[in-house]
Amino acid sequence: MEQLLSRLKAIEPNKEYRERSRVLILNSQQISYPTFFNRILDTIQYGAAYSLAIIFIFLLVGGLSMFSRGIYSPAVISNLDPQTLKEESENFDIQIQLSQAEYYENSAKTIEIALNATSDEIKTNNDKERLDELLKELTL
Amino acid sequence: MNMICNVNFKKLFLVFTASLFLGLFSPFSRIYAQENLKSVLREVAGKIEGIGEIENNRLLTDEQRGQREATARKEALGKIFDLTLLEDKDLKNKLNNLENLSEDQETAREILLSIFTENENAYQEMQKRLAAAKTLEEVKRLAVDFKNWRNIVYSPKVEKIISFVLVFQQQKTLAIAQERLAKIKADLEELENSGLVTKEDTDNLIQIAESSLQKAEEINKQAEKNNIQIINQSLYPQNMARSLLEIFGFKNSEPPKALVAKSLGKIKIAYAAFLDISNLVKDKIQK
Repeated sequence: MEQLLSRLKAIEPNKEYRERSRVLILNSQQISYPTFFNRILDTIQYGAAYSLAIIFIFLLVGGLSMFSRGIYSPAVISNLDPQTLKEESENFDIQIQLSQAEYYENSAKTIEIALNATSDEIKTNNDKERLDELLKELTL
Repeated sequence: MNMICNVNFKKLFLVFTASLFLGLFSPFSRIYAQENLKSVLREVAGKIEGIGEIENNRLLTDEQRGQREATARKEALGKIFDLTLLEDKDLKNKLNNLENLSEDQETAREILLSIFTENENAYQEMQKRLAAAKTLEEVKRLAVDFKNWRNIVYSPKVEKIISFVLVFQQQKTLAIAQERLAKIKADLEELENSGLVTKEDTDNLIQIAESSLQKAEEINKQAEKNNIQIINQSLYPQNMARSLLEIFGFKNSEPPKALVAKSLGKIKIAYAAFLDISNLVKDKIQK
């Protein structure tokens, strides 16, 4: 039995078989376990690929012209937005001031009538009506 | 060190809070001031109505009527004094609230502010007379004097102050309109570069806006010249006023307020052109 084992120990593959086996093993696919960084990189790659594909399809179906028109629509360009222009022209401070100037004109007339009535200097029958009219005209 | 920081922080906080408060509520305080004037003016009208009712009351004896009339007229006159004082305060605020004035404008403002000191003397005199007035005739005489003072002294001064404030405020409006024009022109350039509109599409409207704003500025400058001329005329004798006429090139006799309204009309034309440009661009983009 010992002799048999010693003989078996001496068995070796021939040179051709050894070289062929080595080439086969070295050329076989290596199994490697991905790192965390590699996984993220893979995800980004897939995401980028999908996004590019979607953009490409969007451009193919005429999205380019829609995109440029969307950017330049008056609603987006606030300087040309009709509502902004209208509001700006209607709310000028000078308009408020002009209406206040009208108040002072109106007030001068009202007080003149009131002082005429108080002094009894110029007596008119329709002082009340004139005063009511002037008060209605107040544009403050 | 910590204490100094705390004190500074408290000061900053107070300044910040005060600025925020003033910023938020100053438009409201202005509206409140104007509403207050309007309500006192209504009270004056109410007092006058009261005088009419006493005059027409047939149930009163002549003596009763005389006494009640004197009281009612005195109250009406007192209310008119109050209103004049309120108007004075409002006008003074308007002048004091003007910011970034040029040297000439600052001088004009100082002249106009001195009006209020002159007015105060007149009010004190009138108040004394009103307090002392006992008879109906005395009250009536005071009303006549006050009316004359208002017509000859007060109203022309008010007109000068209002015109000065209007002309100055309009310069701010013009700056806003010019800024809007510049922004629109920049946007149109971008749109032209992208091929969405051509220069020819908007050229005419831009020219209308530009020339209207230029005209608005010219009219405003004329209004300012007229204003300074009017203010100076009231301070210097006739021959001096003539020389000022040469200095400021005063030709247009239109009142400054009318010129401000005319200039505002031109600004409105520019804004109508801006709206037309907006609609045109919208149409071009939607095509």
